[in-house]
Amino acid sequence: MSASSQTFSALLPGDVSDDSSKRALLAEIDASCRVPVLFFVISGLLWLLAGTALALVASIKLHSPGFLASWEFLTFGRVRPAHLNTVIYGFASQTGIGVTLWLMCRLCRVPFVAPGLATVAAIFWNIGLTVGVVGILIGDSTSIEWLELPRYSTPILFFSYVLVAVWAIITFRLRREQHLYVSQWYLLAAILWFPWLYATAQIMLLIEPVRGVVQAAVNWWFAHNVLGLWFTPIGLASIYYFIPKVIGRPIHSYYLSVLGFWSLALFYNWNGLHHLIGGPMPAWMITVSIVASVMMLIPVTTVAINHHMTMWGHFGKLKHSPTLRFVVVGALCYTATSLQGIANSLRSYSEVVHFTHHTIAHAHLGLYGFFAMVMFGSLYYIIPRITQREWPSLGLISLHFWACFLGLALYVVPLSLGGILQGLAMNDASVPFLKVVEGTLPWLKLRTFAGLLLGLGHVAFVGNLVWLLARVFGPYRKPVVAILMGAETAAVVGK
Amino acid sequence: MNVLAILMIGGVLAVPGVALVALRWASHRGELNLPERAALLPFDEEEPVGRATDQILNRQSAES
Amino acid sequence: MSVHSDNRGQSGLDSGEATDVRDLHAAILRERPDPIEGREPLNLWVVAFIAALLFWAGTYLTQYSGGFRSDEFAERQINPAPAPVAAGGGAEDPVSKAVKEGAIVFATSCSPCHQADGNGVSGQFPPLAASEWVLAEGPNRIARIVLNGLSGPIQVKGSEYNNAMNAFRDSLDDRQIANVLTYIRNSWGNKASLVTPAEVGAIRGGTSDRSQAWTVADLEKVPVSGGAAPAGAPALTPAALKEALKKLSPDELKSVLQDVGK
Repeated sequence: MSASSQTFSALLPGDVSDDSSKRALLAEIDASCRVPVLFFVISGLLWLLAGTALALVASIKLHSPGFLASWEFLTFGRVRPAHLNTVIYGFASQTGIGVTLWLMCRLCRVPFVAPGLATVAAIFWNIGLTVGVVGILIGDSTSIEWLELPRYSTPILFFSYVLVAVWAIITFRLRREQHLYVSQWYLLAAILWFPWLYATAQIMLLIEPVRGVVQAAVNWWFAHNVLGLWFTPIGLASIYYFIPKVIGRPIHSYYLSVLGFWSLALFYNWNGLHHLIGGPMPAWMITVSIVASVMMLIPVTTVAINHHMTMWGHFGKLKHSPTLRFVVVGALCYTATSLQGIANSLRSYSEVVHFTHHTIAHAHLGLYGFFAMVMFGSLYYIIPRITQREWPSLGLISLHFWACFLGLALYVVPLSLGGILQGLAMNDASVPFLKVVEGTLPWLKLRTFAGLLLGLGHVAFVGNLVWLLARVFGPYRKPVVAILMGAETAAVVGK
Repeated sequence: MNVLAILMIGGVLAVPGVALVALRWASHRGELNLPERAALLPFDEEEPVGRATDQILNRQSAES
Repeated sequence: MSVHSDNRGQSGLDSGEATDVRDLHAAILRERPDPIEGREPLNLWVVAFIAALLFWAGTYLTQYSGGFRSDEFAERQINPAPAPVAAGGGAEDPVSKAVKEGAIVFATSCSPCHQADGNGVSGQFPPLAASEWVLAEGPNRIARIVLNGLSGPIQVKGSEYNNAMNAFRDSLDDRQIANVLTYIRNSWGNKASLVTPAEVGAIRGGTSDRSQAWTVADLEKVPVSGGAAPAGAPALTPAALKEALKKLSPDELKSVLQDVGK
């Protein structure tokens, strides 16, 4: 292993190239992204490890309630929101921002502008989130799903979002490439949507709470849109960039991609209220959200056609590219989770699966299968380029992929089926409730096992990254510093 | 009507407004009508079309 | 082995003969039957699919939006169902007017148990349709049930029901109780006399000392109609009490009622 990886690193552009003029622009952009992107990515991955641990605790508690029961701060009611908020705001958002920053620089063809601004944003983000997660664990949760972070932490986070948005606008204004690629549409939209969503939800639910069922409406409008207008666009932007980039072939149809973006922008915002089917909401509000959910077939099918047709004839490359593996699995999960979500939004289907583990499986298929997998793939592409170091261990990459892939399959498939069985049993008045609960136990135990596999994959990934970073700061110290200095000078000139 | 309500309603009106302006801006600049050029934007002389990147796994078996 | 890892790398092929390599790849790409990438126009099937979706969306929206009313929660209902009106009732008829208002009270306070069709739930909630209790000559007993609730077994139409009904003394006023009683006495084929708010008010006053729910045994001591007090009650009759209360000023009346309420 070590012999082959050393041979491997000898082939690296960063190591063998002294003819920097030929690869000037991309290398300059990549190197200029190093500090802020790595800051976001590494803190995101540390939150991922924390979130995985919290998830395992929560998952074990569901089938073995006595587990760690003596600690108040690890009760299910605190661990579960702590898990949700660490993976959403810690891992997914920060890694997503890291990838966004790099993609924006690459597609605008400008070296990183104002790296200080982005780094300050990352620092504030982590401070705000640490305060918030500790707040949840000591019992200060707001009890509003997806917004459990206590009120004293959210302004810090919001400040950070605004800095990122400002950074994106500055970069966009300074772009050297005049035309926009579809990924840029998605990224710019996501970066402007999210502060709007977050501020609206904070004001209407925590600062000046609205009354009655309107709270539920605002809550689900926000929670669903975090997925659809924040994570989905970043994930799709990455897929639209990395699949063509890795296989060396432009996307199948640019028209379809434009249609996909604008139909997502038009329809997604209305979807959230399908979580309240059967609730005390005026019928038309639910109906409108169901219609909008079904209309999501337009962006979903256009994106699916585009990704699949681009890959057509190139599936052999999956064998060689870790980025392509993760991103293609992510793209397939996007199609799957979207279709599943559309089915879930229908009244007759929702009657069965609402309030069951099916919903949990669906959420993980979307956020993990789609978003996290795409982010992993993107990082496998980005990190060697911004650090000028190749991945030290190909074995760990394979371990990461297969552990996550199997873990995901073992998580989503059984829990989806188990959720449907659970829903059917709950709708059968002759089955006692305790029987229904007991019936879910095998699926819950399987989920803990799947969670362990996912955790193994995460540890492999982070281990590989630490090894890579050790090389950055290890024997190659001198060239790295030289590249970094050169890049910063160039970035100043770029302004 | 308090300030927050005005802010919220303003936000609800502003977001579709910005979207419409963006759509108009894009169509004026021909962004919606440049399929060949736009699809090639991820590529350049350094990483041209037709060349795969990131082919790092399983090389021994794939290439002699 | 040399060109694979990262093509920004200055491997042998790239440095000298970049044009040739690209030409070579372009030629390979042209050989494929695939259309030229990125320029694929919108497929007609995609357009047809979107059109079909839009058509479905319009249909579903009009069918299941409850008439876009803010107070309509059942998606299948485009207009609220008209309240059942006693046959032959005109607009000016006091019975049909009371029935119309009583229907609203019934829908919110009574129908969860007694059901919208007035047939109740077997064994638990007795029916109101064709019930001998509802169709009694006067409202004496049913008004008491509504005011204080009912607990324990009750025989209705030959079947036994055993459950508890809660009291509506504090949540409904005389007018609402009178209207809902008129409604149940004149719906689902029932036909009985109008109940007036004054009658309910008198019964409310006469039973103000009762705090627990009625039982069938107690109710059977109450005459079906007329203003007589239940047997065994204090000598004070509701009629006498009403006369006494009429002499008080509104404020005094209020404070008396509040004291009694405690």
